[in-house]
Amino acid sequence: MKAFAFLRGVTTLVITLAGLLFITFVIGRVMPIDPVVAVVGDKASQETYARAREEMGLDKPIWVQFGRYIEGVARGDLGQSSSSGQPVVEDIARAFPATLELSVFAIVIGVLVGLPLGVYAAHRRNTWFDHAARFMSLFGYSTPVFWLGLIALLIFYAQLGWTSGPGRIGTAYRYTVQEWSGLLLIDTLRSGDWNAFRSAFSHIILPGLLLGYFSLAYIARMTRNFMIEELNKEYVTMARIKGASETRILWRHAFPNALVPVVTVIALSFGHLLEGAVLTETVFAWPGLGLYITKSLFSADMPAVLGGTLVVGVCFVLLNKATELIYPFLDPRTRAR
Amino acid sequence: MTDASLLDIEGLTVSFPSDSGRVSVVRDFALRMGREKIGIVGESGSGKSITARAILGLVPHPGQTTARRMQLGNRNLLALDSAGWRGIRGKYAGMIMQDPKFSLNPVMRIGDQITETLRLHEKLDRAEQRRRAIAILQAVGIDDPERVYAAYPHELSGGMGQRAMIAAMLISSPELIIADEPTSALDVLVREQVLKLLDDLVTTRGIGLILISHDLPMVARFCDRILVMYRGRIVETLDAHHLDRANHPYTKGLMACLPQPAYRGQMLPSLSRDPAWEQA
Repeated sequence: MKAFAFLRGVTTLVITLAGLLFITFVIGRVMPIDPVVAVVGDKASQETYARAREEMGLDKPIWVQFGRYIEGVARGDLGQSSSSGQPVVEDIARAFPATLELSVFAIVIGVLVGLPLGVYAAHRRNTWFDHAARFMSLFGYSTPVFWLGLIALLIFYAQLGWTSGPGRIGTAYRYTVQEWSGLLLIDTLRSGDWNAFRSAFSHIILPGLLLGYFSLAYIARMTRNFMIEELNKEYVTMARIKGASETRILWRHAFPNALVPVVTVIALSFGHLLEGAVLTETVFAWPGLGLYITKSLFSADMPAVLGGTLVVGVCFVLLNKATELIYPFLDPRTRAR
Repeated sequence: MTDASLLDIEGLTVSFPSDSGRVSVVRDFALRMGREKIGIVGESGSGKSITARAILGLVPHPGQTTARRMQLGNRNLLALDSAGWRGIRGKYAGMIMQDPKFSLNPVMRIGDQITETLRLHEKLDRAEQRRRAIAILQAVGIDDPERVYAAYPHELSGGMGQRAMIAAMLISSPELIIADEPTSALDVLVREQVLKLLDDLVTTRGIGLILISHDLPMVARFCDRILVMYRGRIVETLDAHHLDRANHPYTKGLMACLPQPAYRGQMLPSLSRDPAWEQA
């Protein structure tokens, strides 16, 4: 039974990803950008153009092209990026850890601040605390990220000099860090290079806080709503009748119930972060996945776009699976008997 | 066993703010009871449930509770702050609510929900808590207390859930139990068993019981005295064994509405109201 469930899970994963790739593939082919021209330039002769087109396999029917691509993916080969001239796998291996590091930084802030904020806003609903929390959430929602990013850079980097500017780490350390996980905060700590760690930290703090702010705004708002729903339920009255304190009711009774849908919200928020926050990565020159996919898209570098999309897709599916695995721990009703 | 001083309430009024000033949903409620069984009957909206909550200091936020006197034993309930109320609730007075499907916490084990009442009021080690919970589960007629102790609410039937709830309320040996429609969410067959059980437990342990219901004959079977509420007021107090001595037209009307073999084939009479009752 276990083996069957596992097999079913893998099959779903494969089908989901194949579908995702197919759609991205087709969109890439019907885009009005000619990938051949992107490689050979628009002054190339007819023969050069035709030869390049044949080399890239673009003269074959679309399903043959797709078949070839899938075949490559199965072997772990995502093709060659036409803009960087390197295997897409290598490009992504460099870009993804940057995004992952930023995303983890942001989601940790989002959870550590957003959850308590949402719980207390629900507890003190319609008081100044609740209104302030809601205003903060709304502000996070309605302000363009690039504007907030630029303002943050202007104040904390340019004016006050408290943080470092764009990039992941100071140029002095860029080539001295021993890569291990690709997450610079961890790698610098691991090699005990305190100065490099400080540099990496002062680079990640602004974009990290900014993205953390967006994710905490979302998490706090949803947590508040789910908590209010739980606090209106009968079992909360029951706990009061037993003599439980409001703090106990909040954290021991209502919160564990609200956590079930909140976990989905957190996973969703993390998924969006992993997609790569294109604007944030652009403003802070953060060499992450979002920036990579966007750049590739503008130069019609389809192997790179497809590779990036595949990674994002895998992340989403895995996150989904992970929440599914967490549910039974939170909600006994979803436990298999 | 009728020392008339278990619960002593006089002039209890509960009001809520509205656009046209404060509206009283309970007006001038009075009750003096010992360790006996009191029934409160009335239609929906008559104020019986909010009265029960007011006795436990649980009137929700914009509501306001005032009374001339409100005493449980020798404790003056009117003088309590929120910490004081927490010391009363669960320990000296408990309440059994309507539907275990909603009143039990779905993600907490039954055992933990029962021992919570103990944990909040007494310092006991886990083993002792467990021993007492198992004992009380047996007392409420559960055959496999060990399984139920470790079970979650969704794994129990409605009747079992309600027994577990009764167990959670009885475990700290309160002096007063309020049962607010304790059986109306249950199957008809289970209903009788649960009521019988509640009746036995309350009698043998000498607990005062307030049974709230809209079902007059049912209340009459289990209680000693009955208060009839209408629009927030007590309109009549009856001896449960002499329902026929009811004077108030509302009570008479309620009893006339019940299906009886004599009415077979006829339309049941419905209640016609008189605004004068509210001044009664």
